[in-house]
Amino acid sequence: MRFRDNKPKDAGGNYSYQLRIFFVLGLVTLLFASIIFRLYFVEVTSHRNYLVQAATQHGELTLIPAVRGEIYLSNGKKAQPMLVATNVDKKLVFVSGKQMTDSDRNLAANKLAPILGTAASDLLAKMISGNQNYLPLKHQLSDSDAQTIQSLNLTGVHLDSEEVRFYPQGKLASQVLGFLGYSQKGDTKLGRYGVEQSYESELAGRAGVKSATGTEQGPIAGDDIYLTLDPAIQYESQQVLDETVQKHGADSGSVVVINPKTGAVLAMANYPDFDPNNYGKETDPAVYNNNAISSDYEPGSVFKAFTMAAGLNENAVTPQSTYVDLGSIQVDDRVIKNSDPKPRGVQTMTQVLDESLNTGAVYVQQLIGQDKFKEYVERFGFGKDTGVDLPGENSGKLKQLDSKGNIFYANASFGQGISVTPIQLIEAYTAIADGGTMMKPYVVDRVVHPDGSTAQTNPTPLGQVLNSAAASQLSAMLVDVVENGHGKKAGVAGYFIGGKTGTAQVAFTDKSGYDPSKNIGTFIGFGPVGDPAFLMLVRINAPKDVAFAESSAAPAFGQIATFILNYLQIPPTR
Amino acid sequence: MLLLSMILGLGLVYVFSINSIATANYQIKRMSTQLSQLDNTHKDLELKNSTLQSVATIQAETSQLNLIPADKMMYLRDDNVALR
Repeated sequence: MRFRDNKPKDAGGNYSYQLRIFFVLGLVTLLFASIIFRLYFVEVTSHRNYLVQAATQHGELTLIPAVRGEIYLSNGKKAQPMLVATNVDKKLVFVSGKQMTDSDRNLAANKLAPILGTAASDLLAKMISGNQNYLPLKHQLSDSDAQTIQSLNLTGVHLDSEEVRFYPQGKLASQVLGFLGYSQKGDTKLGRYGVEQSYESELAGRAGVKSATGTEQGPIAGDDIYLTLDPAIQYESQQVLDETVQKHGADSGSVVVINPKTGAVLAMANYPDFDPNNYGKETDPAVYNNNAISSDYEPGSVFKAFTMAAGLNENAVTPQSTYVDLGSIQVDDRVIKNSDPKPRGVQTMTQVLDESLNTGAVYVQQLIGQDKFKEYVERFGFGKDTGVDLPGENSGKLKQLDSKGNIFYANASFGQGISVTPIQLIEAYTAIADGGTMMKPYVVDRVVHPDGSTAQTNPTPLGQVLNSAAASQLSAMLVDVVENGHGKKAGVAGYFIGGKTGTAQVAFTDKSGYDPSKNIGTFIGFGPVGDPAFLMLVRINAPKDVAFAESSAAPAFGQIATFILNYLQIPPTR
Repeated sequence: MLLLSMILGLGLVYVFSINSIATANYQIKRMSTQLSQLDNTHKDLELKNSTLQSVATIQAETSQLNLIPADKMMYLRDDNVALR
């Protein structure tokens, strides 16, 4: 006896009917799974949020704001950290128009005008046209002004308390700290820029809720954050940077100082800066940006150190290797010249860095080849974020190295045609300063939770970029730059300081080519060589009276380096 | 009689408890106020400390006291001095 199979089959002989049922069942299961997942998210994960939202909408609960965490500078040498961001109660003065007659308004306007620094007529107009229940006239009154207003005892004029974010050190490290501003909608306060933004969730804490019958759940205070910045080094860096920029009529500048052994940032300064207590008064919001991490540029000759590092690490050259300098070199259809195009004849690799010879950098790049050169550029961390714990980092551009033309690689060998940020340069130089290991830069030393427990940041090594011999050789060559080359003004008597100048050309923004009237001076160095305590970058943008970094950035470096060695009480090494 | 004594006893306990709670509440309120005042004082001191620690303040003080920067340091090494 034979049974007939009535199930429809497709061309391949499979049971398409079964397949369809299976498909529908799968779809239904998926639908249910997603509903269950969503229910779990709403009922369990976000239960508290929805509960609070519903209760506050019905007026059953009120939110109790959490106390925002404070920010300190670690103050490495001293036991007491320095408070740089806190919350203070300030008074605001408001008027309640409903309680006032016309004569009360006139009297209040006349009495308050000199205290609030506003014209009496303006105050009066505001009182008449503004909210008649609650009209704030001035926020953040000084204690003396608040007392004076209180003693006037004016009808309809009242004082109220408000908690405000206060930065007791004013402009100190303002672009690292950021400020407490408002969200895009303008209804919520939240950290903007700097650590205030990048550590918003830690600093903000969690609001509590209060029911009509009493407190239901208390707020959880935010974490306190201790930065790696040293207040004295930060202050000195800002002072020297301000003086240097103003002395040379430059547009702007940056200084970054780190401990090359750990990557801990000791100072990070930019000019111009701002006072976070009065951030709203700034006319150009660009001043909030931390240019040390966000502003990329063609670095110029400071990049020659990486070209030389690649050559040494690949055993393509030694400090004593020679080549013949003709003052210029033909690459593809272009001629690359030195800053001083006179032929120098036979030159060593040490002299290439001393005299900052473009032809020497091109020579080394061509010895190791395009692929190896690109590999080293990437190995040093260029073209990607360093991951420093601050917002707004720029990864720079290495697009030219995607082309195969020799000229692009030749230009890159002395820091042209590619763009990098100061923090990338600093990170890459850690490998040269401290035995070949590159360290990740960071600004938060530790986060202290309200219960007293601490989350300490551990230094992060990013791998051995160079072997220790190559790093030592290059360090010695960089000492020679400071002793005998263009970096003399960066030297500190009694110490071996290694470093490199870089005078970068600035590309036109509206056409191809470089603007001959502008340059960016950079000096990067470290000391004392052998056991470095600091690694520093100074960048001066568009100085008006000097043509080379040896007269703009290098002297500023020397001044700050002298202070640091003195401050850290490091005995002379020679 | 027993019932009356129990009611009286419970009444006394009640009055005593109410009195204790009221006293404790007053104490809590007073201590909360004190805590808040101490918090404010602590905050003020912390701010003063921060201001006094700032390099700008220290520099202003040193120039007022006519102090001279020690820019030439001499570090003593073991071989520079007698160790015993």
